[in-house]
Amino acid sequence: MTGQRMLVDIRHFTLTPGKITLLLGESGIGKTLISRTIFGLMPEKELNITINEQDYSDYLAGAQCREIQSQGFFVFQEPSSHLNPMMTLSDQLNEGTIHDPSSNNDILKALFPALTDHERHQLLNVYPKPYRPSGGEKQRFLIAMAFKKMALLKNPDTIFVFDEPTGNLDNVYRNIFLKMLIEVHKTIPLTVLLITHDYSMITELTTRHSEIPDHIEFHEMCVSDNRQKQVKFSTESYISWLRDLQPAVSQRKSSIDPILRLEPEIEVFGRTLLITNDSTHRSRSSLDIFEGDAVYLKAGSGVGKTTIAKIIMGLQHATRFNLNLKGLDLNEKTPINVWKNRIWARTMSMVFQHADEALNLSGKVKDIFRGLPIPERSDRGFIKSTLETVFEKNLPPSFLDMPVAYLSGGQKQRLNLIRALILEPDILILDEPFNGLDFNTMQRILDLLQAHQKKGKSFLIISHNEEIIDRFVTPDRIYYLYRDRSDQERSESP
Amino acid sequence: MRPKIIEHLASVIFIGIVFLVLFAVWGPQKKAPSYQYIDDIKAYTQLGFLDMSDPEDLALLHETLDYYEPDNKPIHDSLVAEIKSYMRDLMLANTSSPYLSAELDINKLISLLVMLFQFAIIYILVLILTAYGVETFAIYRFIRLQQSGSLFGSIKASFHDLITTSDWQNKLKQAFFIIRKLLRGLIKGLSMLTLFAPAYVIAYSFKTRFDTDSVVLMILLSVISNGLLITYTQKYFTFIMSESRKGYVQTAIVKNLNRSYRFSTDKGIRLSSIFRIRKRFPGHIFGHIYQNVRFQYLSTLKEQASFLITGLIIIEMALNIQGHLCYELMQNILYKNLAIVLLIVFGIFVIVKLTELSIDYLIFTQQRKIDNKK
Amino acid sequence: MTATTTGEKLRHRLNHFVTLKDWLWLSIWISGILFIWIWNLIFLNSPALHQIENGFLNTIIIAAMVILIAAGLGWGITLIDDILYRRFPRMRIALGFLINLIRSVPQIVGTLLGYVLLTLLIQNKILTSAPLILFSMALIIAVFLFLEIFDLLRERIAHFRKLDFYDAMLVCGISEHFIINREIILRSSPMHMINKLIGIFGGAIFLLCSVDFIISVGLSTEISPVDLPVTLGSLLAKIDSKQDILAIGHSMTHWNYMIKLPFEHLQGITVASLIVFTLLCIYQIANGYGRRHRL
Repeated sequence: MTGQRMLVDIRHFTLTPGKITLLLGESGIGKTLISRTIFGLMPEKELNITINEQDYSDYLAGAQCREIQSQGFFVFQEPSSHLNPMMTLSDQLNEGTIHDPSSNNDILKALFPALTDHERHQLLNVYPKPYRPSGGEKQRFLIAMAFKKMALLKNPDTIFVFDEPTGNLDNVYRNIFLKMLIEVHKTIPLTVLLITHDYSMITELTTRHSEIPDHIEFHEMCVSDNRQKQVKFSTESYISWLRDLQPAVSQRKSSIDPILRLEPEIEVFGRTLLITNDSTHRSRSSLDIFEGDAVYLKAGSGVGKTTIAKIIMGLQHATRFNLNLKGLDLNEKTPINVWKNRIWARTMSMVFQHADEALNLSGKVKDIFRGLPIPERSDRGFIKSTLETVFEKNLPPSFLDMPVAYLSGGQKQRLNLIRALILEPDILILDEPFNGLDFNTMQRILDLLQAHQKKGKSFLIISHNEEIIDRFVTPDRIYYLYRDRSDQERSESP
Repeated sequence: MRPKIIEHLASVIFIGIVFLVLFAVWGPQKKAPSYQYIDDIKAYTQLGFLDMSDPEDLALLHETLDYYEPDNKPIHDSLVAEIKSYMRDLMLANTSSPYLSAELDINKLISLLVMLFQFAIIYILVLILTAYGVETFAIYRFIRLQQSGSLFGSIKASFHDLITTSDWQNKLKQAFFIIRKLLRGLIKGLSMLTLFAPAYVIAYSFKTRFDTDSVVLMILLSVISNGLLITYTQKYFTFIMSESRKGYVQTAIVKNLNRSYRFSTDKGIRLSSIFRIRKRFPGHIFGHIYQNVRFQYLSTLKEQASFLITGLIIIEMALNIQGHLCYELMQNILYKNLAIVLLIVFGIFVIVKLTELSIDYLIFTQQRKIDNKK
Repeated sequence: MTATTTGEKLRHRLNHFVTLKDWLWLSIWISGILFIWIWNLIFLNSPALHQIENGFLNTIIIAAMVILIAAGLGWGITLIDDILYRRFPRMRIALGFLINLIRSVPQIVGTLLGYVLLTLLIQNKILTSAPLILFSMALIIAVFLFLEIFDLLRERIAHFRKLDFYDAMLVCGISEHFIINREIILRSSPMHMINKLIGIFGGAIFLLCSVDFIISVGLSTEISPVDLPVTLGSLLAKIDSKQDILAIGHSMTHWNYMIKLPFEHLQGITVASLIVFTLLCIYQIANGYGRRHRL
């Protein structure tokens, strides 16, 4: 609790000793706050914290907390800000209680299987910058630190916390991490708290690791009567919902021309990116979006999905690309004013990944709509009814005056989405639209998108929630993005 | 780095050209003043019963002229103004000031270069001292804050204990703590006032005690006055506070690096580490913080250097320290020796530019390393 | 019971107020100025008190004008810089070059030369009215201080441009003018600006007093202090004040003389105290404000 408001109020939070607790729930609900509190990482002077009816300073001084800190580990959410930019990765991987370099090789080999020893060594000597190593690589380094600690463990009576460890990983590396975790858990039954809102992990765990009931429990955190609650999560309900999920019926006729066509070759940052709808990548095809369409663009982590989205939106300069948008030809020579005057908020718009960055946290909820090119942008009644499509019905009017900074991550993401949906552009690009959302909200958003689709609006979706989006779109509307192999060979050759 | 060097060089060349143009326009030679009513002026100054340097006599002349020639009042106004200027020029000529007819010859140029060199040496010394002082005090302040919180907070806590405890020995102990802390507060307050005082206030307070022309006193004044040390210590401290909240510090904590800020050799921080010139905090989370702050502060060092030069200039001018560059500048402004003024200002500008270039180079080498380009 | 509750409420409010360092130091400053004024009212002669009042008021008015001019200049030049960034990148280099030139001139030198120019304008009767002269003094100082606002706003715009913030609003049809002025500057940066402006207020007082002191001491025959409005700096340079300051040094070795300082050397002590006390309080206010808003 701060001097002004209650941040988290939870009466009962348990971790089963010796088990992996997968904690799901909307972003911003308090999962990270609770885990940091347990681990003793919260600033005691700035916040008023009580744990087990004990003052936080007493808890910190207690044996349990000291043991957790000494033997446990915490893998933080944002890998970029949790690595020191002034030290090489190697130095950071070998300091403190994990200074022993002997276990490095095996752990790094498992987490970086695509790299040779030489490449791994080169990577270790790098100072972490925003784009090198990639977000996924940085995340794997933090995970490597945790596994090193596990290898050096003397007393398993501690807690390991993984806070969104797969946020920057694609499914391949996510599965590698899960496999490693379960393998370690089989030999050392640690108490692990794995926080995530990647619901597709459930399918991976329930199908590939049949022995998991002995190792994993699924919980969800939700808010009830202004208090956080930890409840058991039913994996069966999720799996059955997923099975029943159907794509919206497309309104298009086969002879109608696409409203957007992106030619398959795009050159940017000295690389060539290719598009295909062939999962084997043997052929190339232009990315076509029709009226009332939902298109899914897939690619591995770091390939360039967001870059492509930004090129389509005119926000990123490319060396070469060709795009036709409702008869308008666009390429690398097109001036930005064309997008500004004819495309943005009219024909196309985009919802960005990180709601915390995309929204103005200094403003109030109603301010998000100011400046939009719609006549009702200042009409409180209109704003309220719009918000009720993504939030609950009968929203209190005071919600409009709530500071955006006070909203949870999931609420911000919903606000981020609705700001673009309200403009009703012909095509909406959605970059990780389910970031930070809980299961119920995800369902609501999918229903909303399908409703827009039926009205003839189209979507281009970028998401790592493959299993959900694979069911939301028809198989012929899935495209793949990959790097030109000759480019890769050129960059890898000495 | 090349664009930066080009930019700095271009600035120097540009200012050099501007100054050359100004020099050409205003010229190195001073023209002798010309007076419209010179004959009348000379006649009036030779009157035995009127002293033209006396304002009363001059007023009397003015009134008399207006009385007898009321239609020529504007002429009389101009005449009296010219008499005033003439008498002043006469007085200045008689004081035989070396600045009155100073020309920019080779001797003057050499003496200016020597003064510029002396100014630069003092400036560098003060910069090094203040850079060290700023870093050391900011780190010390941060560590003391981690140890015991704010002074006010601890006084409040002791006061609360004093009131609530019934044991007289404890009361006495708390009273002693309060007095000690209040004394500390008083010393801190007085130090703050001194550090914030403009240099001329401190210097004039002790003018009769110390030779204010001494270089040592100048360096001391530059370091401790004008709010330089305290302002930049605060900026450095703000950087430290900001970095201490960042994520990589949390990662260092979970790797079980030392996080105690007590002055101990074992788990904490050695007091000597704080006061060393090359500070190191191995195995402590503060080491991570320090690495980042030290790099980030480099660009603020330019601002600190600029403020420092301002302070040095104020000291030399305000204390009239003869034989020093800025006193020379002030005198030449007074006597309108514009060529010398331009040259001195250009010299100071070059010193500022060299400082910026050096700091940019430091930043460039560090940045190259952490950008993985080395 | 009621008294205890009221007393508790009062204590709680007081405790809370003490944590608001910026408001606390503002109160200390105002109280200190009032105390000094009342003391002088009792112990200082009327003409000298009148001079000090004028000097203090002129100093504060000029410093206040400096922050308004600096804010306007800083904001205006930032907008020009942003337009050049988007449309005329080459001209932006030229603007950056000019800005860096101003940055490289030591503030005191620039202000001094500005004052020389100002005096020429006064002597040639181009500037005659007192408010205009005050404004010109403020403008000269603001030219060397506005860069702090410019740097701040440019850094804030660059920060938000790097995030999805800027692009997310652009693609929703929000104009760039709205994003920069309303969203970034007015909504997301007012506390940063206020913090900087408080610092500039203190910087202006420091520069103003220093320049006026130097002029009064060293350039009195040319740039006559009679031409320029009296400020705390020019007051400090007067013989009477200097002698009063010298007495401080004397009292360091003659402790019994210290009692006489606030009575017999009141003018100089008052002027010096006002300068030092004001600078210290403004520094603390800026720090407190920054800490409260976690800037």
